[in-house]
Amino acid sequence: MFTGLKTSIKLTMRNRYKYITMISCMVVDIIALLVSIHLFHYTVNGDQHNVINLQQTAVITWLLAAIVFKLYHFKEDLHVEAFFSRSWSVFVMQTLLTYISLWRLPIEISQISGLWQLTGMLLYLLFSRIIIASLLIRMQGKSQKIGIWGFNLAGIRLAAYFEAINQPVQFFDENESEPHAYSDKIRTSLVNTINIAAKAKLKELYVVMHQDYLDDMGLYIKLADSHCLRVRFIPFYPGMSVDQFRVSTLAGLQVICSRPEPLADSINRLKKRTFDVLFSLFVILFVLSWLYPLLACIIKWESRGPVLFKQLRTGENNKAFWCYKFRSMKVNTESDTRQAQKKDDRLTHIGRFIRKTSLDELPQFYNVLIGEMSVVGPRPHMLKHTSDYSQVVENYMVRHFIKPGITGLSQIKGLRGETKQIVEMQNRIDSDIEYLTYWSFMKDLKICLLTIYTALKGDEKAF
Amino acid sequence: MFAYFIAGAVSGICLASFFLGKELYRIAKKNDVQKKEIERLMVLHHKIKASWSYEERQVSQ
Repeated sequence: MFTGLKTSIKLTMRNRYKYITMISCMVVDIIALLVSIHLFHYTVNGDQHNVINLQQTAVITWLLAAIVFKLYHFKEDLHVEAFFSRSWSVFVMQTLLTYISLWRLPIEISQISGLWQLTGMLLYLLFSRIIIASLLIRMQGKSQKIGIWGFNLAGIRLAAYFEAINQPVQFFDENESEPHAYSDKIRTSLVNTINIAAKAKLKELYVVMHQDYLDDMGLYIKLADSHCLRVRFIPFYPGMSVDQFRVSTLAGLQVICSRPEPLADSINRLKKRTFDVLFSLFVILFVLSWLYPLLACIIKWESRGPVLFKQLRTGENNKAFWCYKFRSMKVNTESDTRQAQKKDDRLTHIGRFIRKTSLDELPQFYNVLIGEMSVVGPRPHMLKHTSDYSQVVENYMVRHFIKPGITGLSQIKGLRGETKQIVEMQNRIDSDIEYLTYWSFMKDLKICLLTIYTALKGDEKAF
Repeated sequence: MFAYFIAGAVSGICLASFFLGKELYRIAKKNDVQKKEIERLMVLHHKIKASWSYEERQVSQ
C-alpha cells in the first residue's frame, strides 16, 4: 500500500520550501567545508597551493558522497532521522575519500590541522543539522492539511504515516456515528466532505474506502475536479494484509501483485544462474572429483545397491525432476513415501555420517549444473508430500514459483528434517515464501556461508 | 598534546550529541504518532462495538 502512496506524494510536491532548503543546505555545506579547510590548513601551514588543491578534492568528494547517500534528494518525503543519518554517512565517506586522495595526490597536510578541521566540520554538522531539521519541521507543520475520508484501519495507518513526517492531517468522518463499512450513507458523506475540503482549500483529499464502494469513483473525481481539489483513492481490503501487495500498470491497466518476486526479473535470474553454474562447476571439479570415488567405494562396500539414490521430486512450476543423492539407506520399498526419522533402521553407518554432514546432497550440484535446481532455494519435496501437504497448507504451492535448492533459508533457520506436525511444515513454507519474496544475491551468499557453518557445527535435526 | 585532547573531546561531544539527538527525536516522534494512532483505534473500536450492538438489537427485535 505504501509503495503506491509514495508515488502519489512525489506527484504533489508537498513542501514548496523543501527545494529551497535543500539547495541552501548544499551551498552552506560546501561553504563550511571550504572555510574549515582554509581556516585550519591555511592559518597553520600558510601554503596557498596545498589548500586550494585540498579544497577542490574535498568539494568533489563531498558531492560524490552526497550523490551516493542521496543527501539532497528532493523527490522523497523528508524524514528527519534519515537526513541526520545521511549527513553522517556523507561526512564519513567524504573524509575517507579525501584521505585516500591525499595518499595519491601531491598534497601535504599537517596532522594537527587535519584534526582541527575535522572537529570544526563535526561542530558545523551538529549545529547545521539541528537548525535545518527544526526549520523543516516548522515548515512542514505549517503546510496545508491533508484531508482523509475513511475512518478505518487503513485510514488510521495513512494518518500515522503523514504525521510521522510532520504533515498535519484531518479526518472528515471521525465523528460520524457509524463506521462507513456498515452504512449506506457513504455517497452523501463523501459529497459533503469534498465540498467542505474544497471550501477549506485543502490541497488533497485521500479517500480510504472499501473496494465495493469504489463504483462511484467517477462521480467523486468530477466533483473534486470542479472544486479544484485533488482526490486520491485508496482501496481498503478489511481482514487482508496488503503490505506485500505491489501495484503496477500494464497496457494502462492496474495490476495488483500479491507479493514482490525479485526472481521474476531477468537480470536477477541471470545473476542467480551465473552463480549456480560457477559454484556447481567448482564443487564438481574440486570436491566431487575426489570425494565421489571415495564415498562410492564405502557405500558399495557397506551395502548392496547403487551409489546414487534418485527420486522424483517437485521442481519449479510443479514439474517433477530426478533429484540425485548419495545413497544413505539400505535399498527399501518405502523410500518414496516415508520420511527419514531419527534412529531410522534403514540408515547405513556411512549413510548416518553423510546425512549428518549433509554430504549426501552433493550430487545435487549436477542438478544445479543442468538447471533443474539452484544452489539456494526451497528444498524439493517428494511428489507424495507435495500432493499431501498442498491439501492442508493453503500457500504450499507458492514455494514452487522458483527452482528448488540444495540449501535454503528454512535450512539455516533449523526448519529441516522430519515434519511431524502440520505447523512445522507451515513454518517451513512461510520461510520459503519469505525467501522468494525478499531474494537478493547477497542473501544467497549469506545462506551459503551459514550452511557451511551449520554443516561444520553439526545440526541436531540432520539425521 | 593538549590540542589533541581538546580536539578529541569536542569531536566526541559533537558525535555523541548528534546521534543521541537523532535517537531521542526518533523515539519522541514515534511515541507521539503511536499515541495518536492508539487513540484513533480506540475510537474506531468503540464505533464498531456500538454498531454491532445496534445490529444485535435490531435482530433481537
